[in-house]
Amino acid sequence: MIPVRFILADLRRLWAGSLVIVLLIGLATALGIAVGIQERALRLGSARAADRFDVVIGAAGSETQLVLSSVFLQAAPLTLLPGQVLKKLAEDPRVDWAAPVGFGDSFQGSPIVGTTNEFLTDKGRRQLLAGHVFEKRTDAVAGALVDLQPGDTVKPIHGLPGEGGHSHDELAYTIVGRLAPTGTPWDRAILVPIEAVWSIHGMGPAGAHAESDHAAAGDHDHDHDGAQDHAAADHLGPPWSAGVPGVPAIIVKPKSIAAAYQLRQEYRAETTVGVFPAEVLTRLYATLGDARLVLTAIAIGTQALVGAAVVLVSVVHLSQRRRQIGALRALGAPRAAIFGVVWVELLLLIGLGVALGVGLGYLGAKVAASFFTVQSGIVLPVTLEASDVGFAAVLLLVAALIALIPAWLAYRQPPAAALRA
Amino acid sequence: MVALQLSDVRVSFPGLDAPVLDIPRLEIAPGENVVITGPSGSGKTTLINVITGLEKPDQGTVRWGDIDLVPLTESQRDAWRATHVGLVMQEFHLFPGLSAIENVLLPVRFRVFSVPAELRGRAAALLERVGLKRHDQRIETMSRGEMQRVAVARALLGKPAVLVADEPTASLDAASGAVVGDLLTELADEENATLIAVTHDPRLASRLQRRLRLVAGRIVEDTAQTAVPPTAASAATAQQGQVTS
Ligand SMILES: Nc1ncnc2c1ncn2[C@@H]1O[C@H](COP(=O)(O)OP(=O)(O)OP(=O)(O)O)[C@@H](O)[C@H]1O
Ligand SMILES: [Mg+2]
Repeated sequence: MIPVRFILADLRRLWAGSLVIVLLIGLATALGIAVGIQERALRLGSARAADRFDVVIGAAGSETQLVLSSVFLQAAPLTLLPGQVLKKLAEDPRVDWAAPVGFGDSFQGSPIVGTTNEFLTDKGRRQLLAGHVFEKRTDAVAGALVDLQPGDTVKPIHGLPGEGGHSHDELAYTIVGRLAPTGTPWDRAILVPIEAVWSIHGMGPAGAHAESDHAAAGDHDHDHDGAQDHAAADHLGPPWSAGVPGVPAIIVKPKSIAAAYQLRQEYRAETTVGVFPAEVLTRLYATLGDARLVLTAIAIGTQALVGAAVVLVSVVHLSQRRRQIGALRALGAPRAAIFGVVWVELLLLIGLGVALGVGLGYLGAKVAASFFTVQSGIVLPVTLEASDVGFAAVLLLVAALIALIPAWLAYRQPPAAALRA
Repeated sequence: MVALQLSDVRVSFPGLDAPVLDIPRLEIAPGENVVITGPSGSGKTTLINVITGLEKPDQGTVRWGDIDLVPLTESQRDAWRATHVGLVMQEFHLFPGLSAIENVLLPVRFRVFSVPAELRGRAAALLERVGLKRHDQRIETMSRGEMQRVAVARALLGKPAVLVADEPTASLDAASGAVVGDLLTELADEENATLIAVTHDPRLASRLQRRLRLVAGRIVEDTAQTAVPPTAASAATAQQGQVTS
């Protein structure tokens, strides 16, 4: 029989040491839990962010870079695709819609991304939170997290967010709508008609620069007449004219899965590349998996260290309690009960520590995720799942086994010590 | 009530040439009161440990009635001790954080799931008997004399056949020591228990019927003495703080 009162009195008496043990175990557990939760959240969050991007077509080059730039808006100079590719895709019968994305400018830390109304509304399937889609070249639609309201003016600065650049005084956009939140980096973007991006970078007739000073504007061989026709009507979006300017990436919504595979295959050519962002991400995670392995190893190492420390502390503590344990035996307590007392006391502390660690790990992951969201715009779904609890349970089980060592030592302690000073 | 019979008992420790305890024969009748004296290191505590089953002798038999403790396993000896021996130690070995009555009940709590009401009643009665009124007082707030009285009550809870005390008064002042010494003799008498006490306290020693003197692990003296009959006024004597021999 293990007297509960005795255990409680014992732990209360040793509260300071007990607290330290609980905290140590809690922190070590939290580390492991947080790594697991965070990794899963990152995977889910980025997969969700890539959800809307079935197929992305870009100029031949790094697939990862293409996905990072187009899906996660981690802008980097991309080689432009000839405008013909956009036209061909938009008119392809297997394609529901094909939207260009063009980068290069920013406003108050938000990237300005040129695209079409089809992308904004997923060809009418999505509602705006407020306002309306592009009607004029100077219209802009703000992502959900951009602190701008319909009616606000946006003066684009050339360059990526954070890079200082000169302002484009020749053009100002007016916010006409706001997008619903998506939990992706696009929530922090300001979307404008692709035609405006072309013209501001000297690729359209509205561009005042005869010779562009922007490297990103790239392709100077464009048929300006075509663009002019296009502009004359102040027409936005498809159908594209023959002389449509180049774009860094095209987001394609195929009509079927089969079409998606065909399109990807077709555009895996010499000058173009077609990717499934989800697939690229999977490959990326495989690389990240190593990092996760390292983190997990660190977490497990920490737990092992803490486990060793707890065993050490409890063994030292036991040697200080030799006489007390001897006395309990002398008074008639069975050895099994002594074993039980030491084991249960340790298990209580370990259990409290692990429970605390699960809570701390979850909170820690939440905090880390919110920082990550502020940085990247990607919302990470932080959830506590059965596998995390399973991890904690395994930890508890291992700890319960390790706690058998001090319990066994107590069991073996000779009772004769009680009467000797 | 059982008699103790030791024969051929020998305890030695590695590194010591002479055995720490060497007793060819010793008998203690049921209900007898025995005091064990002797210089420090003469083996008194070792003898106590052997007869309570806390230590196993290298050889010999330690027979209580029909039971020889020597061949028993540790667990069997623990169980035997729990039902037959009440132990009072120099260091009281009470457990802080628990009340007086919980300390009295603690050994029982290690053996049964819930303490029967009559045992709880007996614990309370014993605390009253040793002169303690506040049964719920936390043990660490008590005086040393009070603590040892709680230990006496604890030793008697299980109606032990043998009450064993190792220097029960040595860490107390004279007045508290007198009270505890008197309580031990009186209660052993009231409960019909054999009392075996190791003590240097002449007052306690003088109240016991038989005196064993150990020197270097051997019994060098075994004398019957005329015991001072237990006085009903022990508490009053204690208050005067006198030590008589
Ligand atoms: N585990 C041990 N290992 C070695 N020697 C021991 C051990 N336990 C006891 N002894 C020795 O046995 C002898 C008897 O010890 P014991 O405790 O029985 O003496 P004692 O008569 O009770 O002394 P005191 O009056 O000081 O309490 C001592 O010399 C002691 O050093
Ligand atoms: Mg001793």
